[in-house]
Amino acid sequence: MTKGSRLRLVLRDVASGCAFASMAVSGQLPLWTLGLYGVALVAALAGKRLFARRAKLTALLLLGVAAVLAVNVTSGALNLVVAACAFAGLISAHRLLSAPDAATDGQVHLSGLLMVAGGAALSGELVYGLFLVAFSVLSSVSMALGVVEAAVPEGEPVPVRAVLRPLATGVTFAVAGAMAFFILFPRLNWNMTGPRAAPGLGPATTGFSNTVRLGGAGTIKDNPRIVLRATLSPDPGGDALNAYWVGRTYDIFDGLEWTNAGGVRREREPLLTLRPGGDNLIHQRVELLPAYGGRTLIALETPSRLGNAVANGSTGSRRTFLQELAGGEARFLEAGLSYSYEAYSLPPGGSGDTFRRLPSVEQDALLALPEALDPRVSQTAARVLNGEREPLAAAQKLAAWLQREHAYTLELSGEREDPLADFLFERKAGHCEHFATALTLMLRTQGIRARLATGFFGGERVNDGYVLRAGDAHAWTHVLVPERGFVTVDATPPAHRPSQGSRLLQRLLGLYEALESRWRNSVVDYSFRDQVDVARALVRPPKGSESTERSRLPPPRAWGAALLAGMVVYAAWRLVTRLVGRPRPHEATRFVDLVEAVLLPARLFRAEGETLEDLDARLAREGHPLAPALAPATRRYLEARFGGRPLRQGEAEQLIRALQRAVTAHVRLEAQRARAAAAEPRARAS
Amino acid sequence: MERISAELGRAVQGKEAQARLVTTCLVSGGHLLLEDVPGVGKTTLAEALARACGLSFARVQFTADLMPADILGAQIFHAQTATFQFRPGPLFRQLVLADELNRAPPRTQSALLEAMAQGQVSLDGSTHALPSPFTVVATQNPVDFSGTYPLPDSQLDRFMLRLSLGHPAPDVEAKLLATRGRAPPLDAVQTVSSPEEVDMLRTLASELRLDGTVADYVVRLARATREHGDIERGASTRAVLALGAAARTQALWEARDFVTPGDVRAVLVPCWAHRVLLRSAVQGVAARDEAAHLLEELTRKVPAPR
Amino acid sequence: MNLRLKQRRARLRAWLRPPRTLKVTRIGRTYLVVTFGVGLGALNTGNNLLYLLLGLLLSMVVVSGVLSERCIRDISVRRVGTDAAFAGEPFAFRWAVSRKQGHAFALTFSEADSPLLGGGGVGYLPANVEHVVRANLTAPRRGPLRMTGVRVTTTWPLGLFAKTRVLPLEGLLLVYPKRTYACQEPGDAERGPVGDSGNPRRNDGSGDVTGLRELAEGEDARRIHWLKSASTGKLLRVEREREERRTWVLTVEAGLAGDALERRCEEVAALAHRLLDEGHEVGLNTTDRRLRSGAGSAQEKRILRALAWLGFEGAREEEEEAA
Repeated sequence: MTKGSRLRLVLRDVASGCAFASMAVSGQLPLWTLGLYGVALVAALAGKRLFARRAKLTALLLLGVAAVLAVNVTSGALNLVVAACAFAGLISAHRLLSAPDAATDGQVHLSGLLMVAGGAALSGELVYGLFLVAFSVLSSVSMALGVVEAAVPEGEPVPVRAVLRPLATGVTFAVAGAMAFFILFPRLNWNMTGPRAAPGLGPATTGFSNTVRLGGAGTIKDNPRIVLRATLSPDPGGDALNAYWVGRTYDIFDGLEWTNAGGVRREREPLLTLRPGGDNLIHQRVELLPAYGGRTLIALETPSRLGNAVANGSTGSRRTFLQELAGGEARFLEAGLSYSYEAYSLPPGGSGDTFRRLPSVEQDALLALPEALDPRVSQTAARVLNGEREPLAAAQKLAAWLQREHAYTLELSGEREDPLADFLFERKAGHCEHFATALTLMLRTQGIRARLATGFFGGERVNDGYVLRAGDAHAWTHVLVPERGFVTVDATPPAHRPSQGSRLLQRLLGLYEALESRWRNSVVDYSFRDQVDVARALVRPPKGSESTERSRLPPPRAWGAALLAGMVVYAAWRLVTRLVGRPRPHEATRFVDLVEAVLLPARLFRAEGETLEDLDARLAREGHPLAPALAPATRRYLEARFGGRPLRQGEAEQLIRALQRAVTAHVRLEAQRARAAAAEPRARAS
Repeated sequence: MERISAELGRAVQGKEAQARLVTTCLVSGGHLLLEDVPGVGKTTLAEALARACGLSFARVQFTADLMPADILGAQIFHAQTATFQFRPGPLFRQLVLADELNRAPPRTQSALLEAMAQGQVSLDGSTHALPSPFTVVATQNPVDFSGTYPLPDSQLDRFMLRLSLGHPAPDVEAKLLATRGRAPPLDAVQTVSSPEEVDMLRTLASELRLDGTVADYVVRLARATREHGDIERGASTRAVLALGAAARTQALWEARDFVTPGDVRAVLVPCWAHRVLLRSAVQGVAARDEAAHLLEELTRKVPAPR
Repeated sequence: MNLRLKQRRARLRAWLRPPRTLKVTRIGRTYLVVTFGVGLGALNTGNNLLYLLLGLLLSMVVVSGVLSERCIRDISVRRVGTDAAFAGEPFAFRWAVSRKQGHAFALTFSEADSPLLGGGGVGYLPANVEHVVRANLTAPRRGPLRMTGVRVTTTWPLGLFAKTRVLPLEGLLLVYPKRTYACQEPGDAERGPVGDSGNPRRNDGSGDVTGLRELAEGEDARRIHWLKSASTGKLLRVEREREERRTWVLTVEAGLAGDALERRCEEVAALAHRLLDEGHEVGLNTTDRRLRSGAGSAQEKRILRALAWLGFEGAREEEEEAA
């Protein structure tokens, strides 16, 4: 096998791998298909075509695989689309392992194409786009090499380097063309039912349970995966939002775990109103990503209304109802991979709840203490407070004390008998749940109503929205302040409130998220409306930019016109240089063309490649009647062409005219002779 | 030139075309190889050439025991002065006829060929220039190979033109039969030129204009021979130069001061037929015929400049 | 002047309507079907990624057309020809291809509108380089074959479409008779010793040398010319005037036509080949031509040419006039 064809096969296999990966990033393919395909790809890349011998027989394996997939589909374990994609991948794997010939190559590329199409149906991630481009580039290079290889005679090297340059240009144009097509091709349907969600790789990491248990390691704090995206209006601006996003609250602590009093409050509502709002509500359009993994709605503190919820599954999106539970938790009724909804929140400063209007179970729970509470907690609280009775001031005083006296740590091992006492008096270090629990309970020992709230802290700007990471998960304390309702007090040291992951990883993920969000906005969610916008922007630049930038830069239309003019000039220049650069025929050569044109009616037979010189010599030898007339012209032609004595002005015409006369005379003579010859037999016959 | 050629034609009757080519070779400053069966007038032609041009002439009959010294000359001891003196051999003439060249041993052949190429003779460290114009006319019998040392193909390259005279036409032969008895043919040849005139013609020929396109045509012909499937070894660079020189002289015949592609075609076969080595195993005259055939085919295939 | 105008008009017409044909290959057909499917899917679901994929597939088709056009433009071909073409067996044929500017890839060449089968290809043709493309062609039958043009095909860049262009180029290929075995004996020699080994002086080494030729199988090792053999590297034998060299004149009888003529031509060609190979002289007699006897491969070529023209005399007249 030559070097070129080995390269071609490797490219082909890698392209197929990219196509498969474009499906695999959706995370929906069954694991065993991933494994089978991976083994096949590795074997193919290592040059071991295991099925080369018995292509027909091994195709039976595919039949078996198809049967397994069919069973899975009928039993409902597998989506039909997913099964079809998986089958396409396995067909490709089988072709990879077959003997590499032209037909197999074509099948590998086509199955790659099918896989990419399947990937488009399964996932909408940015990675898919990358794999799509990689597939198209590798696959076209491989196909082009195959085409060239087929034309190269046996034993000669394949000009790999020479192929790559024009092909790269071609593929670049193709990608540009694809983009132009994408932007300009009218979207005839309004409903965008593209894949909104794919489970992605790795399990979901956060989520809310009905209890919060103290102790254990808080490794979640260094997980940089993004779980939530939100766009706020009015947009607060700024890179870090540093806001509290609440999921739910807890009010009963039994010494180890936080739980809630009460159960489901409202069963099935399209729109949940948790508390009355005012004029200055903050509107949020929130998207919970598959990495979130829970069904609890998250909203900025303090949520007022939640609704318009949509659950996205692998097959599509559907509207879902909400359920309100105890602790102010709102849940989606239907499971989905990801969700999107809208929320209205009160501005920070208090929830506006009044104690009276709370449900009675909650009223009682706000002062409840575990039975086996260490007495030192109450003593310490009293000592720190030193007579302060005002709830907010007291809470802040205690929080300041906790931050001063206790360290933040995530390395907590082992299950403790009494985690609170252990945190406060023994270890003097803990994570946010410890701080929040300690503050809440210490306040309660002093008769101040408080509860634990969990959710996220932070908000990182990405494009025009904010994202939350899994590591932003946080717990804090709500203190009930008369007139203002529940007010947030955070006992955790400020530096440790948001995500604790590695900076580099976070930055990379942030970058990816920014790209991904661009991709989603401009590609996945591209719609007819956007097309109209593009068209409008082309026709008339947007008003806003016109007013601010007109002074400095010409409008885009001018740039476009300049570009067009430049292209026209370039094309004209190319044309001119081509015309000028064309080798001009020698003057004498043109003369010869004329001579030959004149000779045409004489019906002199000319052999292929016979020059005027030869013709002249032959005619002279044969004593042809035209020879004397042709000789001077030939002589002058030779002189002009090879002798460096160019034809004088008008000389060519003179010679041509003389020759023309001779030819006409000759032709007339011939015709007469022919007539005579024709007439003779007739005369004889009569 | 016309005169020389006419005189030659008188000597060797019925061979006007060949006589012309012989003169071409002389004027181009090349050496001539006559290859034909015995008895067609090779020797007569050479002698007549010498006589017509008034060149000093020597004839060396090559035999199996001919040594290099026999043709180049040798250092002779002079007893009186007690010195060695160079006595030039028969090679120091303006026209040398090397008869039956293939009968001499290779050593002698190569001595002659070297002298042909260099125009001088190196002997015992001293160099002796050969007279000008210096031309060798070698004859070779292609048929009788026994006891001969046929020239290697590479040596053949040194001859500018190769001719074969061929049997004269029947009527010429009859005429010969009638006239030959009376007077030796060479007596009829008169000296019509001089060495100076030949030299002058040479300079004249070398100053002819060779257009770039014509030169390119020659080169393309050479390349065509190198690429041809039936030809083992195509024309060498020396062959290209020789063809150019011969074509110049050919143009002189036409009384033109520039070379046309037709001139090139006219001398192509005698100039190159002996220089290309064919793939097939035929040797001798048949090989020349075939080479000529191939070359003519090439002139049809390679487009001439126009 | 009129002529030049006409030429210019013809050139313009040729430029406006380039003689191209486009064929979809097998993989190309499947590609188009998949493209169609993706297009339907995109329109039905409104999935933007499918639109993107569709755009990529469609623009690949366009780019493929543009690249192949660039590849096939500006190509000039001349026939280098063949050394010998026998009917019914592949012979090496050559075209010299070049282009003034730009590259070309994956070109395959064949003769257009002629019964010649087979073709040759070149993988990469840079600008200003004359590349000789070799091909094994097969001609079905004997006789002169008019060639009108060279067909250039490329599947560059992706092998989805095969774009073909015919470069008009007149030419003539003389196909020699099929090579077979001679079933009949050549008959008696016209000249030379009679009988097979009756001459006692047959191997005596006397007589004039007429030439050298390669030692054939089953020949006497004493005939080897050692000096010449050593210098050329192949065994050569001396041929002498008076030996087994005889002269035959083969005849193609008048009045034959169709298959009988073909058969006779093949027979005569095979006989001539055998006899010339043995070093004899062979001549040829046909209805309207006589070929003098001669030896060597040049003579064989002449005989083959004459045989190839048999039955195509009309065309031959023109050709003779041209030569």
